Amino acid sequence: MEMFNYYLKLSFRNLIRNRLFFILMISTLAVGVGVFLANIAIIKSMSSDPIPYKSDRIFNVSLNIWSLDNPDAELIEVMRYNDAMHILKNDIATHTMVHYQSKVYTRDINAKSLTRHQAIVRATTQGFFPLTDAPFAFGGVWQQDYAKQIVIGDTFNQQVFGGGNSVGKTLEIGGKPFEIVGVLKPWNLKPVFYNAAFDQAFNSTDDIYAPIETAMDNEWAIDLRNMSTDRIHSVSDNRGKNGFFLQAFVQLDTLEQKQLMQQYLDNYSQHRKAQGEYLRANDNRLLDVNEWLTHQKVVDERMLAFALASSLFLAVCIFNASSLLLARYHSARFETGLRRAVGARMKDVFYQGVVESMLIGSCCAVLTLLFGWLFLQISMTLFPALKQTSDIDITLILMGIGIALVTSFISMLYPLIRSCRTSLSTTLK
Amino acid sequence: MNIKALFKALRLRKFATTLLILQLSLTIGLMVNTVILTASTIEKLNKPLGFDVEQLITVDLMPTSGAYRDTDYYQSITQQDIAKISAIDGVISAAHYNQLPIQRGGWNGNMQAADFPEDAVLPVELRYVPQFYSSKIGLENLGVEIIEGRTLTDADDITKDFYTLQDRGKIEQNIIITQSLAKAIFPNRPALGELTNNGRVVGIARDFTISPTRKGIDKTFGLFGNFMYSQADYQQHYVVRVEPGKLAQVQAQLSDTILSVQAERDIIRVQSMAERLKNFYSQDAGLASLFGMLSLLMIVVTVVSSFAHAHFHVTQQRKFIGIRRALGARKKDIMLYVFSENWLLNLGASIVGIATMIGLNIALSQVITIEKPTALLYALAVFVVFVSGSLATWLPAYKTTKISPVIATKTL
Repeated sequence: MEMFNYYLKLSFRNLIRNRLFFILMISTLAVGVGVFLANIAIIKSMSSDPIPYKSDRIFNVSLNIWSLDNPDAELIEVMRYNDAMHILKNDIATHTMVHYQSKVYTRDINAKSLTRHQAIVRATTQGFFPLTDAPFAFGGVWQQDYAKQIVIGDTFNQQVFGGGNSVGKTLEIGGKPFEIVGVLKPWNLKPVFYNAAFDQAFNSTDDIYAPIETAMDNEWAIDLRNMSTDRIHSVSDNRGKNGFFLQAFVQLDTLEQKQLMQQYLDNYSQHRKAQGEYLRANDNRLLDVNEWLTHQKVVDERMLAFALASSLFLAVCIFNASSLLLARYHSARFETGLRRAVGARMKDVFYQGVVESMLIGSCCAVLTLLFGWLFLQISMTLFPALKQTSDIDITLILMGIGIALVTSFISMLYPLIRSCRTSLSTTLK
Repeated sequence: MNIKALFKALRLRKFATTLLILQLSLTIGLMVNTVILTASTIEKLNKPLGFDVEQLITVDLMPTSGAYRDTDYYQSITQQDIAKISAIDGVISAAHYNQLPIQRGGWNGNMQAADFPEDAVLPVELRYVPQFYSSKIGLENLGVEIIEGRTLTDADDITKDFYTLQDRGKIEQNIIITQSLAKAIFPNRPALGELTNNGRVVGIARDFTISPTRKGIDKTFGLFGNFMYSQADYQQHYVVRVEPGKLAQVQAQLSDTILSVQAERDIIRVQSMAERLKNFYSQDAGLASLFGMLSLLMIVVTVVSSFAHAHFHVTQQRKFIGIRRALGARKKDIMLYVFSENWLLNLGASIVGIATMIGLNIALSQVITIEKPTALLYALAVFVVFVSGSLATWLPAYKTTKISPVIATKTL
């Protein structure tokens, strides 16, 4: 320990004596690690598991149904009303939910102001809540499929009612009243796995959750895909028609459940085929949350491209630091030689170098966090869409410190070895 | 100049030399690919789209009140909006649209000739043809010319039939299609007067860019009908055509003008078509800027390295340089010697740089769309690295010339 303190003191003295050199070296290394860290922050957040304790038990259901298309085309993620209703009827899954996204304008029916708030609606079924583990702060889910009852999210509750228990209050949507039966706690789901199919995986969780039948009866807008000759006159007219707009998720806790569900879906496809529909070469598909997110390519490809470039930049910064350090050790070889001459072993010189590299690494770590934060802000300015996907958490900070220490050590390793190997006789001459 | 001696000197510092060559070559590789990304974004933004982008303002809006579920009410408000906008000083014309050009997704449908065989497979590009519904001036308002047939008239308006007839399947609308779409639907006969699954072709419009992200000929596919789509839960769009120089002035008045007709609307966005185009490519521009920032940082690091390398070398070789001076080498010979070393390193880096440039381009093409590098871009990157390296070497080289020949005698 005594030697450690001595080496630390020695390293401090070295750093101060050659401050311009070390400032240059540490800051270039910190810029490299900082850019790399900012990129990792984005990619880490994009590729995180939103529901780790059960992500392998929740599955997206994609059916082999889509008439008039290439037989070998990819399965589409949406299905018709009737398909979704059939999936809801299964008694295999622990929980089943179907949903679509809509948007409404709404206000507290008792508010004096006539200003309406824009609200993102998740038109869904009761199974949504136990499947996604949406946390209730007050109340619970609606009990009837056609009820004019809704659940609201925390942010929306704050915005419209100023927070608190809003169960029993009423919202006006399109001139009609809707009773609030449940209020969620703050719910941060990243990515929003159930909404990943439409480039919205990094949006906030929804404002309003409503029964699907109620949403359709009230004509709350849908994004529809339709390749048939059916004329669909309104949202509610989709029942029994060939409009594709619903997505389904199931929770299957055992392998047996999964096999049974696959069988259930296959039977359904065969049934549709028997009724004259075309099937494609692909099977009905069950993808768990992480497979589903990978399939939806939620990690922005541009960020992957930038990751490649920032890794190269980090390499350049390490090369730069290493070559600077080599120069530094070369110029300090007389001092090293002197220490060797008065009895320091090669091991001691190396140990002292390691202590110095740790000190450099620590300075670098502090600067790395600063530069990392700065580059994250720059990235968010250039890509406003990243605002939702760049969390700085304790893991990331530790990761930044770790990378800074390791890169400093790597940069120092070869110059240090060279320095230790300097033959004593050469120096003494 | 003794090249052999230079090589020998560099060989003595294998590690530092290799690192610097690698650094320089990576910088070349990144710079070339950055320029490719930037150039492709600039090209996308500056490519003529075939309609009057500079003269147009777009408005995206949505009703917030349930009263708009009454389509008659909705339509009357839309008509009042258009009339009031048209009366603003500087406005040439204004029209409503169900969707706008330059977008992803949207209202698309399959297009085929009415007599297209039932068992034939429809080409993929005809499966998602953007369908635009506007007033009779919809195309003219955008600045798109009709090259064959006629424009749409009041008689072509299907709004009333759409919202009153029980069986909408019976409506046969008259439509205008773009020339590339006409050729795709009717490859062997003139399209004018022909019936499609979406109505009868009464006019053909000059091609203009509608879906910029599409890669094939369907970039310019579009169908135009005379119909006021009035669905309360979906976004509505207005395009306002203004006199040159009055864009900002009109843009500033639009929100208030619309809300003065009826306030229960959410004006989601008012932006010029040029801004819309810029926003459309903002992600590409963002990536190009990130790469640009990284390239700049890389050049800075490279300059630091070149400086340090030359400086280190000079310090290490003080004695030898002193001897040279003593043996008659002039200051400029010494300067040239230090510079030559840097140029030699640059030469090495430019050779390795070909590999890093191509390697990085291939790696990037796995994740994003990127064009191939060209010899010109490569030469440009080599030139930049060469110039910045030479500048960084200048100070150490200049200091070298100050080494006095006396050094040689001192250290011997």
